[in-house]
Amino acid sequence: MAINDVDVQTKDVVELLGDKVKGPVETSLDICAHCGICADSCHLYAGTGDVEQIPSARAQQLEKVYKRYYTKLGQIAPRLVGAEDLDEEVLDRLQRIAYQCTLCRRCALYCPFGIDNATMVASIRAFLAEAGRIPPALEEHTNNAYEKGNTLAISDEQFLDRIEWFEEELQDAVDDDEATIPLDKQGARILFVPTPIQIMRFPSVIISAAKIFHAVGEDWTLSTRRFDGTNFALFSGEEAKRNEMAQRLVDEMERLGAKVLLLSECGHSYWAMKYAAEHWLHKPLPFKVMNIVELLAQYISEGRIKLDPSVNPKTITYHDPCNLSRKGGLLDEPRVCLEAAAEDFVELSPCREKAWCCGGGGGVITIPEYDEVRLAAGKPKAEQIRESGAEVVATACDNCKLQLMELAERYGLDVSVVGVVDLVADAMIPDEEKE
Amino acid sequence: MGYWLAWFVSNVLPFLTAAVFFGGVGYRIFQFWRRPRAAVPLTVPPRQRSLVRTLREIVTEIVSFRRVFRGSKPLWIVSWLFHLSILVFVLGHFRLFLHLDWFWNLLRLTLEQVDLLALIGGGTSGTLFMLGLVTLFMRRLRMPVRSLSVPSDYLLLLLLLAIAVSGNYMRFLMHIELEPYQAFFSNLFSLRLGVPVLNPVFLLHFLLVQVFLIYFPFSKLVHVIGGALTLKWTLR
Repeated sequence: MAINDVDVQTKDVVELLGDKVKGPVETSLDICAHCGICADSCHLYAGTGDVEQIPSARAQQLEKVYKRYYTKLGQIAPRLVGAEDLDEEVLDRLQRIAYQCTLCRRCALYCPFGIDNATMVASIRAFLAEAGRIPPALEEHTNNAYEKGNTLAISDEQFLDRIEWFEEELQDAVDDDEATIPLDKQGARILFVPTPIQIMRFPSVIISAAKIFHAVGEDWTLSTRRFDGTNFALFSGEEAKRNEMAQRLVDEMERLGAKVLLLSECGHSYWAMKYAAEHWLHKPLPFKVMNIVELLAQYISEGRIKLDPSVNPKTITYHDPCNLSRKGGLLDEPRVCLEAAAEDFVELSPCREKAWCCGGGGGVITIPEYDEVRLAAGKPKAEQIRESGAEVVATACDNCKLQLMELAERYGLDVSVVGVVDLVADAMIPDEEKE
Repeated sequence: MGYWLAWFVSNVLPFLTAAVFFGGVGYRIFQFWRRPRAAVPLTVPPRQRSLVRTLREIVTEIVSFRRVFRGSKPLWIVSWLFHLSILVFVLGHFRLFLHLDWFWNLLRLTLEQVDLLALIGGGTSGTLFMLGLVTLFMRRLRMPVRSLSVPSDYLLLLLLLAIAVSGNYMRFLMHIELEPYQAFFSNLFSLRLGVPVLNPVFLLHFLLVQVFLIYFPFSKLVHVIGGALTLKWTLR
């Protein structure tokens, strides 16, 4: 069927589809030989056993509808090449497979041709976003961030209130009434951008970071305008909003004149700003992007903080957030932190770039309809944690933390989930004891 | 009728096949070359690599199938031997197209030894190829790979299986003298329409290979052409 034969509404959608697929995605679709090696590399397939969740199946679902309208064989002999019409049922399936995938890119390491499934899934999301098919809960998060400045719609008063409390905690912890959490400090070296969930639910990340900055005398600041480093439009597939959110951080860096954009325990915000933003915005960023784990590893290597591992005597393992390790390249840095901060550090198997995704990334954790699939998809992670014998799982991503906590409950794991920054801050030897 | 069909397959179709195959492959290379790469870097994990290092890694992947090995050891054995056998018998067929006496002299091999070598190399690779196809076909019939398979995936394997069976039939069950075939290909390559070789098994084999070559640029076989490109994206 040529494009002109389909009804008008579908025609628009079909053209959208064409826009998203032409280019690098088309190349990947052509090359995928349907060998299925990716199946066992995907936590979603490993955890659910649902063939719809195989990375190649996602690509093929896209290929099937694309072929139908954009290739000769698909128009002449749809059955032979397995081409499918783009109808409601197919749109629903595309939505499921695209927003349940966590974009972890583990399959790219196992594909004989290195095909990047996340690129394809991102293009399906971009297409669905324009066709008005973002899962509502995810869309709400994105809209909050876009319209109110942060995903949880935290008001300015609420934010200042929380910071005041964090500052008191900091002063108690370091026993120094002068200790502050700087706000909007012009010309600070580092602009530290946390996440809304850290402000509301995991405040220890911010307090611990402040303690460490206090110890090394770091020149840093928080911003009262931009205290959300996350970019949920990256997840929803809304490209214009995504670029705008990245641009806001760039603007804030410029306003405060900071040299380093320091992102917190959050995987995707690091990947977005470190690797993607310059390409989205078509310009190099005039500052350095770092993750807090990277900075802490630097402090430790340079001897700027001294740690006493006996403070953390339990068996601790590290879960590699996909956006920090496989996609972000921070493989050694968290290990430098944990080796120094914990007495008994053990690795999961596999780990580093081959680590299993926890199943909670890519925005799926915000979508209640997908809860069951998400928890099933976390099974490989839960099993490897169980096998490691660890009592504590450390990680450096809010999203992973939330998922790991739920996995511990679902799979009966007797582990606690903590952030790397907290472990380092706890193990820090105060100045007077340093010798 | 049989003669004219043989004549067509031997003297007309090859030119069409060559045009479609080389034109098609050239077009696909051009097409892949022209298409933009993804807007964001795709290296996993991000790592600085020199061009030399990247090329070395791509060659390593192609020679060793390292990623398949990483994913599944049994599949690696099958697919690696399968692709190796293709390399061996494709090289073996050059005996039909070229006069290689100088080469055998260089290696100090007598013609008897070369025949023995061909029997071993051709026989082994032909057998492995056939077994590989059967295994890959069976694998496609089983879940989860069945769910990823479309009719053209099966048809391609069946086409190759028919090529393998007809080739192995000639290798093992027929006595083939090399000379008429060498003469035939020599005529063909010098664009002289000659007398076809009237061996029905050969004609079938030759026809199927041509069908394969015509289909090649439009099938999943383009993984041979474009695979290195997508691999490069994950490396650099």
